[in-house]
Amino acid sequence: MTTPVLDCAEMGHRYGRRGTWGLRECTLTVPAGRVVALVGPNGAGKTTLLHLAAGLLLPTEGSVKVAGAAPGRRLERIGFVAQDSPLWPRLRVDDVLGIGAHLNPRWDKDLASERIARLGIPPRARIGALSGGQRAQVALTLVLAKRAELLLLDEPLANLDPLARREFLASMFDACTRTGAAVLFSSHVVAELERICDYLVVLADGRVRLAGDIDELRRAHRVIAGPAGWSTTAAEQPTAIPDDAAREGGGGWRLISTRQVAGRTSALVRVGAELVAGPGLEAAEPTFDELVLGYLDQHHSDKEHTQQGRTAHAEAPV
Amino acid sequence: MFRLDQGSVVPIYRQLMAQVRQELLLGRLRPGEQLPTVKEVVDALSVNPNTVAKAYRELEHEGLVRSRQGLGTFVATSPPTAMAAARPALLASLTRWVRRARAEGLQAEEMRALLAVALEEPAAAVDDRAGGRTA
Amino acid sequence: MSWVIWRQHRSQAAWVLLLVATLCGLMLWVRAHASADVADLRAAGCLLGDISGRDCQTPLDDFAVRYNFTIPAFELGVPLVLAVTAALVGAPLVAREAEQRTHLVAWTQSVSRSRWFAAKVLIVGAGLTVAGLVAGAATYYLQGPLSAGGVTSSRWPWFFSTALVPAGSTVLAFGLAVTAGAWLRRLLPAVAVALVSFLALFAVAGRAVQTLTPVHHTLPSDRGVPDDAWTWPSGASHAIPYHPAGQFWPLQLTFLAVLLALTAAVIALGWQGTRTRAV
Repeated sequence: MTTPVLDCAEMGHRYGRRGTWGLRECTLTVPAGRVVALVGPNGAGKTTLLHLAAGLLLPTEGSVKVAGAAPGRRLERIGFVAQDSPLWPRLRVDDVLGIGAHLNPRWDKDLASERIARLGIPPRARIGALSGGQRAQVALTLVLAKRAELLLLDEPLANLDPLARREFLASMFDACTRTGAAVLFSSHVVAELERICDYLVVLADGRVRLAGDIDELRRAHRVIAGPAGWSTTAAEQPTAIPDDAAREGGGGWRLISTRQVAGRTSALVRVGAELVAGPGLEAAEPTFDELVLGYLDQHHSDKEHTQQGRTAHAEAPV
Repeated sequence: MFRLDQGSVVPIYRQLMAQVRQELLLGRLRPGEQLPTVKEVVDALSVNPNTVAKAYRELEHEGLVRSRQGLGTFVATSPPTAMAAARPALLASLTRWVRRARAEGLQAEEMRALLAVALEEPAAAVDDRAGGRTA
Repeated sequence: MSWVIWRQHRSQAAWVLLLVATLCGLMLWVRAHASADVADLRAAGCLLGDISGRDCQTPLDDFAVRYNFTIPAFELGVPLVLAVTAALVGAPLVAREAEQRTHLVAWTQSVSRSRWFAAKVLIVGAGLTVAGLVAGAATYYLQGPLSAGGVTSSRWPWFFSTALVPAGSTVLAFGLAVTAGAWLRRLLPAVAVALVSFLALFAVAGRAVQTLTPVHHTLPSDRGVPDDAWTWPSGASHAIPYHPAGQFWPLQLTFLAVLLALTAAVIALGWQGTRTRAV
């Protein structure tokens, strides 16, 4: 089995000795060459996870490995771009590329200068005078010319106009195809992620809620729509097949979250086996957005449920 | 040639596959012709290259295309013959149905909805009654 | 790494060079005038051992009045200006990278954080050390005629602004600023903390050197204090402590060693701050 490019095991980080946990019990394996979207609300732990993977933070518990070793020893294989792509404002573009050339052993000088020229960024311009999109492209050039195997990008598309976004994505995908690099990027915006990533990680409140290949995840979930309140009325009746059956994979299903839309209740469920919806209910594979939002909603309603002291049971409609 | 329906129930790679299949059936892609390269599709649609590669791989499993190392992906030299030419009777009865539906005032969306329902009908499986449904 | 440091600190180096050149230029100019005036005094016979018989009080007083300004300007000024400069160079080393968030870039190239810190501290520190040595040489050169003319021979502080000590004090201020920046991660507070702690540490170290080194005492009626000895006011009129000139260089080296040791300890603390404080 080839070494995964990123391997986190029960990884957690605490700010200070008595501070908050930015991330807890995070177990995640990213195979090489995948484009992974890290999705979650602000404060979910996305930046913490990326900083841990880049070696900027040390895990308080658990471990993180990049290509089999600690990130601190794999710095030349990691390409990190922080939120808002910070660069030294008073230096010029070619100075920044020079820094990349001098500090990285495998530096592709031609790729760097050719890329800057193709994007129309004047090499003698000061970083402070560049637009946000241009600065993001220079930061991306730094990690691409470094020939990193793992690109870690913190909210790379925020603050980019649609054209800049398209150029950024084109460069990112080009790196994936040419070098087989894996990309892990975070986003708190769900729209447009579907076409960019093929592996999804949903984070909320410092924990991984969902992780896996997108097509497999969609196949393993269903959106079941029915008359208003159908899932809760089922829940109020004690069931013959409780939650445990779903956990053991012996059929049945696990409720993730529900939504009320125009007088109908729509529930996202995780299924252990093939599911046939009961009368009056329609089941379909979730769209990408329904999957992500359903899990983000779960985090929300989990909080509410524990506050009200309720737990959700599920009845198998088969 | 490719357009993506974002937010659809259909995964993107299956959308791409469906569009390639449609081009083949309509005869717009000929045997031996090269499909757009992965890079071309990625640049045009800003879509993940793994997804495009997956679509092409699945098409290859279905025998519709062949990938040649370093050269690209090509339509298989013996594909199913263009659907429009090989199924004139079905196409004719379908055209009649569309004319009838239009006469009754149906729009294209409503016709597609009817077709979706008909496709889902368990009774629309291989059955001698199936021919009668679409008439 | 050295290219990177040069590129990042190029304009800082130019400013420091300009500053040191200006200071040295001024000192050389003053020294030229002082030399000429001392030559006049020597010609008038006012510098030889027993001058009571001649009318030397007025020219000596004139000399003192004319060159008194060198005490605040150079004796105090040179080490202070160098210390402030060193603090302004040292504080942004880590603090400005953190404020601009460029440490997230600097520490994710292929160079480890420790190597980055060590290279920055050593190379920039070496530059400042050279500046301190040059300034120290200039003040040493300046102080010659001034002491001969009676302006400075009895003042300890010249010891701290000539020869080797300015190099040590400059690099100490630099180390304090780097460390303050590494822990506080904010530029202006780091500069303030560095300067305050520098003054405190320097005063303590200076006092230690003064009180802990063996001194010679003399009775004024018995033997006069040698001309080129280093004395300081002690209030007592019957026993003036002093260091003979021959002790100058050993004392300088000792004090420099103390300053460098302090600096090393402070920088180790700064390295801790760079390593452990969360980004």
